Amino acid sequence: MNSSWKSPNSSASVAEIDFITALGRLLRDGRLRGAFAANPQAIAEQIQLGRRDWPAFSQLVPEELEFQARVLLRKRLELVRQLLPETGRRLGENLWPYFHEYARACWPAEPRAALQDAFQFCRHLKQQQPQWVSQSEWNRLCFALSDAHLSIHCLMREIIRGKLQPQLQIFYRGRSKRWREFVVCFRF
Amino acid sequence: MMIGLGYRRELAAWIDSKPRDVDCLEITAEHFFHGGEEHLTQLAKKFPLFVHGLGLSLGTPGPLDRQRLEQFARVVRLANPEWISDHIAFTRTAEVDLGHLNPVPPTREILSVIADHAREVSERCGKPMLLENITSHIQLTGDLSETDFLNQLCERANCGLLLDVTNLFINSRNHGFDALKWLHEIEPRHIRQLHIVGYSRAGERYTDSHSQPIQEELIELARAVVNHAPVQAIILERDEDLPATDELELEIAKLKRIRGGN
Repeated sequence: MNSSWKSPNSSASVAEIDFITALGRLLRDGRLRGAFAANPQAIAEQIQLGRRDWPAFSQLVPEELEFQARVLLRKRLELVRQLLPETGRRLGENLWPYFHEYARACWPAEPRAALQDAFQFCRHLKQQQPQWVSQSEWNRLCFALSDAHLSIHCLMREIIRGKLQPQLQIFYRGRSKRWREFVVCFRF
Repeated sequence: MMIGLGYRRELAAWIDSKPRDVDCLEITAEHFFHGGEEHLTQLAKKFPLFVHGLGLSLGTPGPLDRQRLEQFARVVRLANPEWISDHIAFTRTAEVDLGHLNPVPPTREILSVIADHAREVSERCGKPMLLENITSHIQLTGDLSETDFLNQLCERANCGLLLDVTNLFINSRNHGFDALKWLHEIEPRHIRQLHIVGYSRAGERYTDSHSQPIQEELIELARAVVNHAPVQAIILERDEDLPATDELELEIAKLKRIRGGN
């Protein structure tokens, strides 16, 4: 439903966006929501919202937008958590604050949005607290997002407190593009 | 009136035993987009089914996502449901997939978008379509009231309303309106199916985490809907913190009492 209109101050044709697209932008971008709270009209102009949608756009309540955006972030976190169970366990109560900090202003691109999201979140964590990221989960994400046919990693895994066990983590991708993971444990 | 529940994989063993009080099942189309054909066919032999979508994004202006529509139609073909449904909402825009349901403004323009999409889905699948109200933390305004919007949408799309009693209750609490007054503004003949599950609270806000037992206020509201409209099915929509099956049976018993008028 995007259309074109002539800006009164310009002869250039400018692409207008519709209300749904504008609302989507606000919900996915925490920085834009912050700017909207300060000056809705300026944001309507900046994102080139069609003039007839300005009244409805200006009536959006920042607190309500923030709550709805949190609902969306929680849904994203549910998907990421399934891909990162060990990392989530290590983070414990810090999972949501760290995820919120990372996710508030960025949105994963399709395809494979959940994988991308988990990968970017791990990268964000690695810059701050690398010990919270499970190495085996990181290896899995890197392989899943790659086109590689084979990848082998050595891991030291804590089986009981203070006791480490060496493991080989092997990923293999066949011609069908489906991949499998094998773990070889060594006992001494 | 049939009483059933939303099918979840965790409940497969119990459902396969064909519990006596479960009259019907609602399956989520997206759960069968990438397999499960055989199981779906088996379920269709045991229960009347309804196919419920989460991501057709009927409120997004522009064409429907063809791939999703074809995946949805494939599930419908396998399940052969009594009817199909999705939400009065958008989950994606031309720019981004937001991954969850978001509200649409009650405007004539959006009414036209959703009605056209609903008709297209219904025609593609060869099944009647119901549209469901969502929980919204944003209160959007338009050139129609919400109830006028819903009545006109059902007329124009030639579809029914899947009234989520919990969502109505939550919205009425969060946005300060009278749920019963709202209900009586809806044409009774439009309301064909109900969803219900307990609400949650986060501070002052009511939320739909789909994780709680049904509270008494919701039973009362559901009873009011059943007295107002020719409801054909009530579906318990529990997704999170699934309880033991004996607790689910108690929840279904609560719904049976609505049917019985107690």
